[in-house]
Amino acid sequence: MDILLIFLISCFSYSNWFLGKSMLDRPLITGTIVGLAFGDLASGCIIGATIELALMGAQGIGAAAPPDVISGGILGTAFAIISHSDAGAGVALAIPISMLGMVIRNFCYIVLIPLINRAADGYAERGDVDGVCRTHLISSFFGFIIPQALYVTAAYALGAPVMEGVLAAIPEFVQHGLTVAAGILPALGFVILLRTIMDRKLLPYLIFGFVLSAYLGLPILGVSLIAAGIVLLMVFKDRESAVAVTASVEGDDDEF
Amino acid sequence: MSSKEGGSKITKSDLNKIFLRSMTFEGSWDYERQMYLANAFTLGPIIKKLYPLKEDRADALKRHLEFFNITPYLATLVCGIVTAMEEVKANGGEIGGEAISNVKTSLMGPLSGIGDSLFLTTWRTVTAGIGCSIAMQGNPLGAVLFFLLFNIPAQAVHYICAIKGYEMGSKLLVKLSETNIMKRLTRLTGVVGMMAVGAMIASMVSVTTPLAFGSGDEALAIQGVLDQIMPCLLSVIATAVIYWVMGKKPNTAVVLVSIVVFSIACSAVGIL
Repeated sequence: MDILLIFLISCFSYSNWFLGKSMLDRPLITGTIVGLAFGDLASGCIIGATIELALMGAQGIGAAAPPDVISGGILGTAFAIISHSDAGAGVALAIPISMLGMVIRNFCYIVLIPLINRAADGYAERGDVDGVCRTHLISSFFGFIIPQALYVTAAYALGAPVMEGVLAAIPEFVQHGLTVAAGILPALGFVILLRTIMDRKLLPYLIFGFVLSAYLGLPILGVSLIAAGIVLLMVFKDRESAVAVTASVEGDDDEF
Repeated sequence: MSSKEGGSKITKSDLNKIFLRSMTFEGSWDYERQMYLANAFTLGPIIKKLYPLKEDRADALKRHLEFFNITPYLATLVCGIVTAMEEVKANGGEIGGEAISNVKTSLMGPLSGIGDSLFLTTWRTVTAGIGCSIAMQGNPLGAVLFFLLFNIPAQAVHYICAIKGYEMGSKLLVKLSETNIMKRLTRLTGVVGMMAVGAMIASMVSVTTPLAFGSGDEALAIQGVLDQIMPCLLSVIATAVIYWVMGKKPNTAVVLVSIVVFSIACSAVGIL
């Protein structure tokens, strides 16, 4: 029964790229769903969130293939729940699993999908629009979603019986070390964001955000709302000066 | 209806189809031509509608099976522009197939740069951070909130781009560079990104040391001293070090594993 659930959750999650890249792949979402399916929603949320933070930096940007957070998130959460381990153990499992998942995924990208996609060129030659469209659908399901979900399901079926023993056999200092790692790893995700948007002019906001949280204990949502307020102020100010400039140029100001 | 002179053949429902079909934009991604097949899939109904002849369809299909890669939420912008151009071409206008390919090629680079940093890096990290802070208390609303906060703006842009892209056709590029919208948008989201990251470094990165001077009741916990200097001091140091390391453009997976190994080593000797 739980094997079927894992298969369905995996199919759903690997459909992320078929359903508008709507973040169905992220461990925060998969962990919560696995928790729901395994009857321990609260643990699922906590483990999922911990894995999410640890793998925050793992996101496909451009053409680079990142660690496969789906297999890591689903299996890490499932194994941690069935062995009654903590979130640190979930992260410890999620990292190697997502590395292996990356290999499987590359197999799809390099071998399976191109093999199916090739048919599209033939259909195009004959002007067969439906044939091309059909190839895309077949490729999405049988070149990616199904094979990937099968990998996760197989890993679960094989791993679940032994996982409890494996987790119990890990020495204390390693277990503690993994909890430490789970505390440091979120920084990697934040650094990747910082490296993308860093601009000396924006540095004060980084300090403001830090102080609001570290000294004043404001939650992230609260800090983000203050940021949203500042953005609005900036937009209003921009608009005032833009009106002054464009009044003579006769421009329309449609902005996002 | 379709033979009306000068009348547009493309309707709102065609653009809706582009939006819906573009949801699958990375479904058949491969290393060779990346999102090319999804691009053809998205434009399929348009090609069928505009070109009744097999030869013309074959031409258009081949044109849209060229290499393509873009942040999926902005894919509709290119598809919308391309639809407008294909329509002109189909009606005997002066646009050649080459021009359409060129527009695609020239748009995907800059748009992906903006889209990836806006949505996949900034907005994803901020919304996931908000979601995690709630989920950490065992609350499933964290995941729900993350899903909604991320997708409402992302999919709204996804939809609007299809409509606007078609309306403005190839003129859009000029407009974008004229008004500097993208540059300003990047700066404004940068403010939210920076503040959220500052807060998340404080609340979600957690590094503490069990070290102490002396022993027994006299022991002075170093963590207590550090907290008096500045809260989250070790988290800030850890983030700063990783920031410096990432500046050397290493493989992210290697950094990830190194952090785990480093943590276990520190745990073994009792520093962290």
